[in-house]
Amino acid sequence: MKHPYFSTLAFLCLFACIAGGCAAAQAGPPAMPCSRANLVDQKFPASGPEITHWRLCWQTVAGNGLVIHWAYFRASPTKPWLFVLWDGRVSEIFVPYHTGNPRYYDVGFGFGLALISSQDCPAAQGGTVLAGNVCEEVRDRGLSWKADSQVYRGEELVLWSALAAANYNYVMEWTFRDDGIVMGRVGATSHNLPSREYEAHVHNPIWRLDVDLNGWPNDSVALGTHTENLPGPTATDSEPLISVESGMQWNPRRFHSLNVSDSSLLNGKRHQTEFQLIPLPTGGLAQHQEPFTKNDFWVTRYNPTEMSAGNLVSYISPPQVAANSDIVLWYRGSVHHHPRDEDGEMVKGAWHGVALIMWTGWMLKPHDLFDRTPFYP
Amino acid sequence: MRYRRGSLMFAVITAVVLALTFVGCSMAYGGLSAEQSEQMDAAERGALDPLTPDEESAAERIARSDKRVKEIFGEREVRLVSATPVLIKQGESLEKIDVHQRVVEVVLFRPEPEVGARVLVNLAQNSVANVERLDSRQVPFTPDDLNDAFQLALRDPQVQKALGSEAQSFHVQGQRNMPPAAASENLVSGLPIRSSDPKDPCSKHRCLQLFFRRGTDFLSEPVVTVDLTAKHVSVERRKSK
Repeated sequence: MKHPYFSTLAFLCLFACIAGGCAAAQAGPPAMPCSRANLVDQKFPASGPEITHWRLCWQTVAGNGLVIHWAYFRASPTKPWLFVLWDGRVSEIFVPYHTGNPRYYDVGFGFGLALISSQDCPAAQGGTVLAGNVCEEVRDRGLSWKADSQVYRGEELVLWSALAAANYNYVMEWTFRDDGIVMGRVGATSHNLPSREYEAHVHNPIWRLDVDLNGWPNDSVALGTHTENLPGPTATDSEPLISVESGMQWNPRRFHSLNVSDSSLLNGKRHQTEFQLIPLPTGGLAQHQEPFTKNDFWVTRYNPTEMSAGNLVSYISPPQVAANSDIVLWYRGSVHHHPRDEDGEMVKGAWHGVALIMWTGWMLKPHDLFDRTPFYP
Repeated sequence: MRYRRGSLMFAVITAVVLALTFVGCSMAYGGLSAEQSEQMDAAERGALDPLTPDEESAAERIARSDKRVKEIFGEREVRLVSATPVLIKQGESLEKIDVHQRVVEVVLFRPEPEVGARVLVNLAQNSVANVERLDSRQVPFTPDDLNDAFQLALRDPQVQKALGSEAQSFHVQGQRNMPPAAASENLVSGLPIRSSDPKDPCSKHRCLQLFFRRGTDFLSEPVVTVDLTAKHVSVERRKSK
């Protein structure tokens, strides 16, 4: 015989389960080594029910500028938080001029950040000024996908600041997208070099990305490689493991990428999850006389004292095992600045004008993280 | 009777379920008052949160008083280059990291003769965890270096001639949170420079190139390179287009 209070009890149990589940999900955010303005927690879409979620810390460091720590991503409200990045920073900005000298190391001075106001970071564009020198923007990023009449517009969280490096400003931008992609860019702007206003030069920002997928142990890096089997019509893709610390040149015809995986991290389809570091150069990548500029990619083992890109050659000598360990990725981009009249002009012995911003960067793209994209109905 | 006992049991179960639900949800959604929450925040500062002035002073004091640091620097003038909260990986998992530990990387520099040190200070334990001697080339430049370079440059006749009566009106650009340069302000800034020519002392020494700025515009001349290690000033001739 059915108990007279059966339906009420069943309802209460259901209520308790839902509330319990909600409490568990809310209690889920991982503990972070930062608080208040330095902690950024952003769900996507910004309005409406959560699909994905980023949680991270930022810090400003003299010289390095805006540094990102402890970036977690959650692929759905019911999934666990995935640790992605322990520390991301611009390690050096090397600027050689075409005549051979000067050769500047712009991170070598503990430059501070330029002030940021609501003019830089307008609230109407989703901006919030943090600590007076960092801008947080949550914004539409355009089309995420389109299939005939169906469409989805994506969103992103962007943190940026501007390193005030004497005559130059370097805008350091970190983007965390709703689809799990992380992007880093450096933009060079402000005033051409006094006395060499018309001399071409290259700004080479070198990023140090301590990617710790699912935590730091047991990470490996493979070199994503595409090969056209010419003169035949076929092509193949491969991912040779980078077994020891090394430096590599990026070849755009081979679609080279640094693919980071963790031995225990699979998606729901039992596919190995990767985050792939893909260069996004503007125009090209330079090489210079200095040995640390001979490679675009470097893979090293984590060592908290190895923070300076100028010493990369010594960091891999002798090379240690990099497979199944705690790895650090390095990537060097280039901004080739061939001065133009738009940059300014000489007025009474002083340079009057400003070089418009020029960018270079990269993306860190998840591969087989989701079972399928959550942005398609 | 059977139903009365059932009613009692139902009431108890209902009360327990509702109470647990309430407690669970209030914990999850932050059932503390705003004041309690603020007090907790102050006690729960994250490991990488910016240092307070007191924390920075304490970290510098602890670093300077360490025996190993004193052995590196002796009794000469030592400058604070930076004090930055850091988090070092420990063990094999994130869960073992104390996200509230306050460890500060203090970088110190002695200009004469040049040597530096990176000191890891544990603020909670009032102790130094590690000391690493730094070659002078590994130590970032600071406004102190810029000021030294500018003072050296001001004594150079070529620089005096180039700047003319304005020379004394220039001052060193600050390090942090730079305000926008006022239209009438005369500022000096500098960039670290390293020569690729092994015969050039600036391939090994600490060298800064100085730039002079009038308001928002940079003067094309003089461009002054100061070798801080050798205390030598050189003035570059302008390259025309």
